[in-house]
Amino acid sequence: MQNLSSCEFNKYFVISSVSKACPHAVRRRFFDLGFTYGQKVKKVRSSLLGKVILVEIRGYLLSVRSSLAKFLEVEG
Amino acid sequence: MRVSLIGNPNTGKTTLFNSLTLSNEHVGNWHGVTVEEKAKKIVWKGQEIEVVDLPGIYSISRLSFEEKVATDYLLSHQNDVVVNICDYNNLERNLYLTLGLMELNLNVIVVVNQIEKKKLRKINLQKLSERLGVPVVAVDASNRESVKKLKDEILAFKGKTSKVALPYLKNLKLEKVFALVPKHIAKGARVFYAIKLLEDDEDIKQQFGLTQDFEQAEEVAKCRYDYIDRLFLECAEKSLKIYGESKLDKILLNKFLAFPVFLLILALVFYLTFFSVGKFFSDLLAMALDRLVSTPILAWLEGVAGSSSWVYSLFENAIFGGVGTVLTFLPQVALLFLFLSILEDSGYLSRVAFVFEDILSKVGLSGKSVYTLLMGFGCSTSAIMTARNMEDQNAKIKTALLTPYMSCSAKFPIYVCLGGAFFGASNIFVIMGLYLLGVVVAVSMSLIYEKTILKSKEQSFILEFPPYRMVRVKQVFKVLFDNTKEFLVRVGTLIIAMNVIVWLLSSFSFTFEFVQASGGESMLEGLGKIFSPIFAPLGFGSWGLVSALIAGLIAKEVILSSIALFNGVDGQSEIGSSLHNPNSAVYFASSASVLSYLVFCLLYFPCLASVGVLSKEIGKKWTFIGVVIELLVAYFLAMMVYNLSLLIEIFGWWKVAISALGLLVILLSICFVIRSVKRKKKCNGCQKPCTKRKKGE
Repeated sequence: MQNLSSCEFNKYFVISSVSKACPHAVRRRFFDLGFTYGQKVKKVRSSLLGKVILVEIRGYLLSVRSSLAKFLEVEG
Repeated sequence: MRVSLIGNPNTGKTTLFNSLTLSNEHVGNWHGVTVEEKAKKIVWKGQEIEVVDLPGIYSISRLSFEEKVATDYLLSHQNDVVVNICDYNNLERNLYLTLGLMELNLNVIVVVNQIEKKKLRKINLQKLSERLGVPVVAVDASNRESVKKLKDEILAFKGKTSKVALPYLKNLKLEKVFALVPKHIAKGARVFYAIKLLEDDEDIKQQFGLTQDFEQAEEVAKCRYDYIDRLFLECAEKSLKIYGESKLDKILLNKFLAFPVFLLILALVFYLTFFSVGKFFSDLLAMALDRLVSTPILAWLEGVAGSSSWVYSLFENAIFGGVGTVLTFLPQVALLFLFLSILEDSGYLSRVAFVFEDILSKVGLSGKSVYTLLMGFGCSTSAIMTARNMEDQNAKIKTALLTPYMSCSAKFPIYVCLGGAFFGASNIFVIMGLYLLGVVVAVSMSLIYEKTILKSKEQSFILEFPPYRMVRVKQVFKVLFDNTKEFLVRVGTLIIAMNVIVWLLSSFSFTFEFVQASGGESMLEGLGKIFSPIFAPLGFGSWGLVSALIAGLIAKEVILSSIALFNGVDGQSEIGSSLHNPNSAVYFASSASVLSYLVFCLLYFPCLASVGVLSKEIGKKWTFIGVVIELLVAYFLAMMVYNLSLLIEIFGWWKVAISALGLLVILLSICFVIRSVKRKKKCNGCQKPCTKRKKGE
């Protein structure tokens, strides 16, 4: 299973789920922001050390810590 | 009637609030500038309307500080109309909150803000309104006519109840949880609470005394977003562009260019503020003040009261010398705030947070701290309050405690004046160095706090990227005007009052003799002499410099004005030359002691107003600890700077640099030896120094 932290850049993936291992509040925040299963998502870039990534979802941009992005499970 | 403004972060709620109520609240192109509710009453067409501005939220829950404020307000107050502000170009995501408001059965008006001229796609708002069953109004929040229409709309809407259609509710397993919602909940709100239960909302579950796991949050979100997708299929063109995307990011977020570009921007801001433009206007103001105000008044006073009277001394020293000198920095302060506000409005700060997250997460801060720390260059008092929206309590305390280490706008007149007197043209490097020192100390202190008393949890760094926005001319004038006003009020009240007090204490002895006439020792001189031995190791043991520091506890501007007052001079250049004169009350023996004094001023104590805000935001205990640590850090760093620059003065640059390098190498190798010994002790799996130890292998 791939996640948004480890997947390729600049390629659309489909979210399969937000892992239950993700802290409750963060998980719900992901849902509020539109990370629902079946949704298209793309990793645009990462910072120098890769601690944070830039994600495109539902037509807008969001920066997310990589340690949290690994809870976003995606399929190719 | 009460109207609440609610919406996602950075959709222009406060801009709309300002135009609705003709107020002047702070806005910015950044997530979460508003951190608490603000209310104001207006009268429109004979109707009294109370408008409430709430912090930006993503959903009606209590996952963050802002959401707690807004949700508590929505649930505990009777709202006649809820104005839900959405961003035209990011409407899909914004409507998610709208659905939440409709689930709560509130009287919602959806206001689609069209601040940005450029529309990413066409949306049929009329059709959207019909489908949703609530009014959808397009408004330009910064346009007065447009806002007037909205007021009419609000009045017309009062008392009506909208026929809300929420077809997706039937896809949720609501019947199962309806029975669990207590009887006392009003009929209209039962759906909302049932959905909250499905979402497994900890707060609501606790409120109802439930413990079971509902685990339907994903389904609920999916149903809402699917409904929105269907609405958009009917009402809008397909969007091809991405909200917030810009070609500029290729440079500003480039892995290798990001840091140099950021430093370049900051350097440019400081150069323009302190040297070119700012200095020009500052000199102009100084000349005007001298020719048009102080010289004629003093000449008149001399004729009336004589130049040795206490009245003449009060005006010459306290008012014109002290306050006048501070006043000449007005253009520079206003300019600095202008640049900070341009940075804030441009949308660049979210990018800075992204770029700095790498480093800051290592020292236990978050990219979000960048905003607070940058605003600290302006005024730490207001900057500290912006730390409130950080999720983790310890990270918040840390950010708040680090803010006073930044060089605020009240500190730089000291650098300009004192540094300028001793370093001349190369003072630009001294000032840059001081700003950098503040940042370096803040980051190092954060690391120390992180490793000792304020360990922060992993933070949920999720930050939106707003689009870049051009600076509006109107906004520029507004910021300049506001800050000029604020500065003048501050100088006219606090600084004048402090100067008169300092003048009183420095002009009269303990027996209330006027010392300039009698030549005795003033109260402040006596007081300063008690404390001055403590500062002898830092290179500035004279009573005047120490008394200035004591007066500066109230406000940093007073340091410079006190020095001017003690030396009986006014204007930046006169202060400068008097500092070289061994006969003045305040004088520096060497440039080493000036450097040490500047470092001490930068670090020693947040002003009294900041301490007040600190204790309100993070509590008395942490404020006390933080302030004591600041004093210690200032003392030891100033001492180090003093001794180091003395060494350089005696032995020259090269020898000191080489020995410092040698010392550094020795220290680093000691650290390395200790670390490798420690590693060997801990890791039994393999004999080599182990890099995978963290993963538990």
